Amino acid sequence: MPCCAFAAFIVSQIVLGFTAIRRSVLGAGDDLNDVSSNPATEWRLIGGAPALPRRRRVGLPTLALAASIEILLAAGAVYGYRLHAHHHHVASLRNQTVCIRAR
Amino acid sequence: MAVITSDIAELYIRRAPSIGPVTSARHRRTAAIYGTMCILGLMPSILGMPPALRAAGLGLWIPGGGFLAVGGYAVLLFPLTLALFALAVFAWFGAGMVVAPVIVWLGSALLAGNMVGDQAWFLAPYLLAAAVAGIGLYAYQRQQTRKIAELAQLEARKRSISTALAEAIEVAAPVPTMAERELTPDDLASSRYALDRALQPLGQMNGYDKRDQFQTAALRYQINHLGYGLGMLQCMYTPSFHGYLSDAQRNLIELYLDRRIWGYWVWESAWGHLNLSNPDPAGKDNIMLTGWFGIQLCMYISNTGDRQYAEPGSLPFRLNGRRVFHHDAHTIAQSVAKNFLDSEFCLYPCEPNWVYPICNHYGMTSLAIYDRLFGTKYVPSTLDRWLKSLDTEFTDYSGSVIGLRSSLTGIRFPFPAADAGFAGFENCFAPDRAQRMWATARQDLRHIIKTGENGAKRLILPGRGFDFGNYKSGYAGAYAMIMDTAREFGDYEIADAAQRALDQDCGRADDGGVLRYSRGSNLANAMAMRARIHRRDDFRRTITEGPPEASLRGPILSAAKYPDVLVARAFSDGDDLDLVLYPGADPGPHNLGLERLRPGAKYALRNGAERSFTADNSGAASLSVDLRGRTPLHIVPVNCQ
Repeated sequence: MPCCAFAAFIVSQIVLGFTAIRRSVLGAGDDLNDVSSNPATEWRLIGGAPALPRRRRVGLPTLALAASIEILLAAGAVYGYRLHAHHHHVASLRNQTVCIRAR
Repeated sequence: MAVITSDIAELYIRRAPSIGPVTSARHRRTAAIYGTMCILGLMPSILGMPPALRAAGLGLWIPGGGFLAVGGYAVLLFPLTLALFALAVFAWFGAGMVVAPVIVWLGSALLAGNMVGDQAWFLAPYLLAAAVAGIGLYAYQRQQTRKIAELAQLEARKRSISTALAEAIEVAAPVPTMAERELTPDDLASSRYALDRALQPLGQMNGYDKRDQFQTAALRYQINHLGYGLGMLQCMYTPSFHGYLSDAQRNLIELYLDRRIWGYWVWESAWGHLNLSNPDPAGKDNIMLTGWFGIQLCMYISNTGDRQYAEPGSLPFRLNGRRVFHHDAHTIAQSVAKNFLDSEFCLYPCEPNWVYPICNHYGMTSLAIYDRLFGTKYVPSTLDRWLKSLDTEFTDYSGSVIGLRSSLTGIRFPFPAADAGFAGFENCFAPDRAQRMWATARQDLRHIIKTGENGAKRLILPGRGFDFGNYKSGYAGAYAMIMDTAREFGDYEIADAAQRALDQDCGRADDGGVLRYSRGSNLANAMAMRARIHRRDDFRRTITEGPPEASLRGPILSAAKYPDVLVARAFSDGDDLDLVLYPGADPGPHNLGLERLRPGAKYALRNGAERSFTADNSGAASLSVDLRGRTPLHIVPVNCQ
């Protein structure tokens, strides 16, 4: 289970990173119909209202949800890692004990 | 019937498909390195070394392969690492981040070695060997399929090249005379798109697409193409008008020096060249800056005779308060020439390690115009080796130039490239080859010319297209590029078909006196502007001939208010000034400033009626002229009548 949490955490980071890169590289959308207002081409030096770049607004609830999921995943990963490390530690001690007894 | 230049076709027909010696050597080196990694990676397993070394060793076979040796849930990290490796390769391709794939590959191997427990999974080496062999076979199969298709295309081209050349030459319109050169109202509206962007206060970049600064949508390319459009316009239509047209070109040149434009090189230099101390934008590589910017700079110098950017250090690339890279037109050209000389491929990289033939075409074109302006011999001394390398190292089996190749590994990376895109540049320094290239491209384009709803021919490209200027779907850039090249070779049928496609599909908008395509990026719009005013050989003549000599010494229109006064034509025979003006806003009287008149001489202004004026002692004069629609003006010295 902790390994699953760890894997999910890594996958989520990659998915989030990839989405961010995709958005920054490919833009938020590529629908041909969504071009009635192109800030770059609409802009005119004189006589036209300067077209300001439209920013996609992310709502507070969405941000809170994303943050909660991130925190949960991170906590799960840390817990999983500690459990894993503890398990290795105990196993290693057990081996040492076995070795000492064998002598 | 036009004459077929058989020697143009001959090269194509004789062409023996091969991979060039430098590419072959890179392939061998890459294979040797990979082979060594595989052997090293296998040794711990064969020699029964500790599990950590065995897992790390297997990680050298394939990124993330070591996680198979770890076993358990860690096996999931194998596909995850492959995905991460794909991202790293994308960063390598997109921003020259050479270190990214290395870090992911070696890092994952080390991590696997660290994670493995008391024993490595015994099946891991077998599974990995199967995976590597499978991937290798798949890649080989794909390469063979592509090779067979390209060879078939070459054979088809060999059969049709003579006819294609004859057709291309036959349909080509003649080079227009100077008397025919005048911008139409649509051309003027289109040029306003570029002027609006170029004339805003220095440092402002309204009306530009701001995506990333690494790849094709980078601001630098938008600036370059706006500059090329305005430069070609000035050279071919209004060489005797400086005023705001020259201001606009200077603004673009100086905007280019802004760190936001060229600062990408600081990063690429660091993670691509591992050079943290000297990110000189005109040093090693970076032909995407030097080659492109060199053309823009030299166009301005050529059109205006203004050599301020040839002064030492006149182009300061300021990194911060302490560090400035001082360049000028000479050092920019020298950078291109030196890199050509130093590179084993002759062609050299844009981003560290990635050689794009298209950017190298810009580079060679920049040397062509520089040679003309400053009397150097860079092109004659480099061209033979450059073309040979292009033909052997950067040409596929069908005879088309490839998109890009990794100079480190020799690997050809899939990147779109079209013969039409290269032909216009080659027309400046290898016109025979360019003609052949256009003839080939034209054959391919004929299949996409269809009859539109109104009965007129237009281009129809399949799918949704891709605009390299904003990474969205759309064909504005592709149509503009085809139109631009077709006009360069005088093929107005294809150019007009592309123009119709652009007008019908790309959201043409004529508002406020500016013509734009709302479904295109700023880059596509800049290209469309140049394509619209383009006529046969205009680009070649802008590069290799420049404006008429008389225009460089005769009177000029030096001041006119933008956009109140639009200049559709401005030529001089050395004594007179022949203008065609339009009111950009309201018709009525507008002030004009003239320079380079004969000091103290009397001139006549003819525009239906005739009136006279006298130049001052510096050869300047100011006039008020009534502009109503198309307004031709002819200014002549009185004693020359």
